[in-house]
Amino acid sequence: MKSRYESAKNVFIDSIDIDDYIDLSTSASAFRQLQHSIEKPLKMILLFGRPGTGKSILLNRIAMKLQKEKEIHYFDTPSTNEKEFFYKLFKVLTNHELPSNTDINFSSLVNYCKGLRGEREIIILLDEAQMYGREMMEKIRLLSDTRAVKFIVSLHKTEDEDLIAKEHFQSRIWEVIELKNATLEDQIAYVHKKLLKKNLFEVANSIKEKEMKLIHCFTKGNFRECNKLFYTIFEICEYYDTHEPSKIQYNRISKKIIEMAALKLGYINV
Amino acid sequence: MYEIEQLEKQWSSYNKKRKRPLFIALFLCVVVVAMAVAVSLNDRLRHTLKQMFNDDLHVQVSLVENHLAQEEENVSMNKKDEKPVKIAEVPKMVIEMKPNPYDIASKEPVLEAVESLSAPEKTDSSLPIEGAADKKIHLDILETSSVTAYKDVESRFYQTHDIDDALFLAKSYFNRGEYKKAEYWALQTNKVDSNIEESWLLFAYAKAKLGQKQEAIKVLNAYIAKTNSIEAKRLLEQIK
Repeated sequence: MKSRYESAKNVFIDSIDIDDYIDLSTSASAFRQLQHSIEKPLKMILLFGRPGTGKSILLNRIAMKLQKEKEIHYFDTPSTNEKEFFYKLFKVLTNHELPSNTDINFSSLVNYCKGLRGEREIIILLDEAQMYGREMMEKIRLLSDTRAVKFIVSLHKTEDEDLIAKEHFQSRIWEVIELKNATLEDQIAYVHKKLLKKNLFEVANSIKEKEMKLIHCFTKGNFRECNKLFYTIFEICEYYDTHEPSKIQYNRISKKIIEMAALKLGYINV
Repeated sequence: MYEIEQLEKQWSSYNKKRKRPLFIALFLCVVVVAMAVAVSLNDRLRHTLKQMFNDDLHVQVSLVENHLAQEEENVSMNKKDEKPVKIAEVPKMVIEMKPNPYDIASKEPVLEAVESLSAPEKTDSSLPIEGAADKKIHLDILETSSVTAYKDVESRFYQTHDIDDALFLAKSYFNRGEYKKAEYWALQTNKVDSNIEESWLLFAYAKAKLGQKQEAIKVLNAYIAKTNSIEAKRLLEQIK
């Protein structure tokens, strides 16, 4: 018989699938803010935050939401080189594939975009923008200056390098939206909603606030870390459920199991 | 999950490590509490002992005061002196101190031949007798130096007219060969109490030593006529 914890474990496999999106008060607020910014005649919008704060899923969701209303395109994977990027952009702008033996003249592309002003408003969502080089970002800025293409760039905010990156973008950015780690309440809601979405009521009820405090302490409210930790917790629970049922409490997730998972993931050390 | 056992071991180690500061803190708390209790008990014990000591001291002080009062009464009964006795600072413990000239003098064979047959009531002045506390008072004063001590005893005699003081001085001076002074202090003793045989004998013997043999014989005869003392008779024979 399949353990209930196996299903619970799979709920927390990290993905940016729009079906996995959980509507929280903070993420709803960020969504509205981004949607509002897109309506403004801005050239570039910066969405930034620490890894795992939900930037990608927000971009994905906004792309899904606005795809019927606007000409919006989500570049989820950063292009490894300039050529690849302009090939993708060319296709977005012209709806045609560029012949493989041809190169794009950047000036011609800018002029083409200028010609689109007033006729089309193309929104490009660039995820993991920190992967793009300085020169590439300059070209993106020049394209956004045509006001025919609006770029929403998503950027990691880490301790050092992304602050520099933010500074690099500062003069070109018109609006900044920062995503932060979840509060305890948001994280509780996130976990419960995620489990309930998959009809795992009993498992959701076994997660009490006291244990969630410990989990929030380990993950600092980061969604990706939260997914990782819960995946490991349910993995351990699944093992006990299958092999040593006497060691598991079905009405709650024990502190011991949470700490074992935290040890495995390196949140705590012996 | 093949590593679950390993993970359990890790968790056990982590749990022990995590609880260690708690145990240490608990241990320290117990130690602190134990020390506090010990200090508290010690204070109480000290307080109790102090209280007991104070009570004892009060009893001693009251005893000394009673004794002084009694002594004062005795002095007034003797009708010899108007001034109060100044012995307030004299503790009982001074009995432990070094031997004093008084005791030495009282044990000295002043009248060798006579004292071998001495009357029982006056031979040993160190025996506890009425006014024993007075002797302790003397001891305290005499501990400084012998010369000062004699002076102190003399000055005290003028205040208290204590016959023990006078007799002590008579014996002491006699033993030191100061017969004039011995004669004087024997006479002083006799003035206070004319029934003390030792003072008579000392007075006569000192006279004899000073070369006033006839006067000594006269004094002894007078005393023999009065008391028929064997000691006086022996001394009279010796002088003759």
